[in-house]
Amino acid sequence: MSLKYSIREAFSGFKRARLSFFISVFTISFLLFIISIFFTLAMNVNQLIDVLNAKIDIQVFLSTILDDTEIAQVGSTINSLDQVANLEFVSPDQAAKMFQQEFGEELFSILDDNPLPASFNIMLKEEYRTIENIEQLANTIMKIDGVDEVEYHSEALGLLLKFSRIATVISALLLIVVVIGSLFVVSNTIRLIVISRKDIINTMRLVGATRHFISLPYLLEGIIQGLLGGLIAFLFSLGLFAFVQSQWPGLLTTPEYLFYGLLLAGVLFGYIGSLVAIKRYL
Amino acid sequence: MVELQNVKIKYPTGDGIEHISFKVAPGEMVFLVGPSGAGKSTVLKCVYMEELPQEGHVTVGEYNSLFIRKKDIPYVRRRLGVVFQDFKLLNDRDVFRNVSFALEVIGVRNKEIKKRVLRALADVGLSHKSRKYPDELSGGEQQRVAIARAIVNEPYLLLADEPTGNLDPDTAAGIMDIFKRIHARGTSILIATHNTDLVSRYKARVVKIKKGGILEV
Repeated sequence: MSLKYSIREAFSGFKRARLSFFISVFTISFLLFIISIFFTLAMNVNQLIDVLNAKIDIQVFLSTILDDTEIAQVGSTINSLDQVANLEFVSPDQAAKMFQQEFGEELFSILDDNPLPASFNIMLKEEYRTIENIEQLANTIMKIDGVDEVEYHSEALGLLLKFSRIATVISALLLIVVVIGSLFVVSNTIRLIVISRKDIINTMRLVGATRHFISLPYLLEGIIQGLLGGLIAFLFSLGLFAFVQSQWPGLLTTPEYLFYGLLLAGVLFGYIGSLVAIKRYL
Repeated sequence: MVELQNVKIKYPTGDGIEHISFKVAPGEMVFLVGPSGAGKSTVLKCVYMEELPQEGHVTVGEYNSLFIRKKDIPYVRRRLGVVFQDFKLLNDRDVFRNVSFALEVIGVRNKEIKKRVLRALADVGLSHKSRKYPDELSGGEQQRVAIARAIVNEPYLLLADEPTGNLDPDTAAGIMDIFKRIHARGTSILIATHNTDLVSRYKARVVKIKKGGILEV
């Protein structure tokens, strides 16, 4: 009975502030759409970074004149560094095999002896995997006796990290804009509906309707706006990603939970927006 | 059962009421009389707890304005009926739905609603107009709808704020007759009015207020 009343009122609210209702729904959907793009970009870049990271952080090439004891010494010096999580030794023979796998060419068929140096692959501890740390550590290792060369994915990784950070920051900023924007448009729509329903609301209060009962239709109203906004944003995202997929297959992975995320975000913002309006205008 | 004790409410404009103390006993009919601006409406608002006193207190049944929680105020109002000079009907629905609305929004079951609305409309003599809309009715009829809405939840106190203020003398008399009938059934009634002529024609206790304080009980 009471729920039936609330639902009926919520839908009649839409008729009372039609323009405002549509503006509100489209604002939410637009904002959520933009955020879904940036979120997807950030996620894809982060995935790429993870793949690169999972390989090797730093490669240390040793001078070819070192003997086994000296190599072990360099190894233990590197291993004693705080940032190092894992150290892997690659002998010249192993390096030659990897070369062969990568290039499909027998190295010794071209050259008489193996020109590849022994090397260490260093995996860093998670908290040190920033480009600044990697650079700093590379410099430190460079100064160790017997180290010939230090290599890391400086430029590509740095660029990606930078991009990922920018995308994350933009996503976060957008999230704030979306929250504030949605709250504003939803609460404004609810405010218009509440004003147009003033007589009814006053009468309800007078005859003893509870605050909860009076506000329920407006909460539903806000949730409907948010839900529609989320749904439209999802459809737009779906269209855009399908287009990207058709043009550049495999470029992007779309988050599986995007649909639920957008709907949930829409509902949440709609709910909070109407809550704000109810607190202020009812 | 309804008691105001040394109630004071002052608005920022300087208007308001002060030193207001009186009771309405069960089954009693009371006129609250005073010139415009004396604070009659404010006194009624205290009773239905639209305003809470800044000093003193109001008791309505088991509720006291000093201790009442905001969420309990609707339950005070369910025990009261309120009628206004300007009727305050909802123009988007017919007479029946205007009255039934008062029951719908407090969660009364549909079957019960129909019974009670028809009885209330019969009490005010409007059974035959239950499908009319407010703007199809005369002022007197609209006020009768408002009274039906006020009594449909069987309140123990009916509050009326200048209920005949917008009506001609004959129509006003008709409305007063309805109040008398409701009173005769045992409902307490508190009527605020500045119409001394009206008061003199009905046997009821009179509480006079003037610019904030009670003069005579």
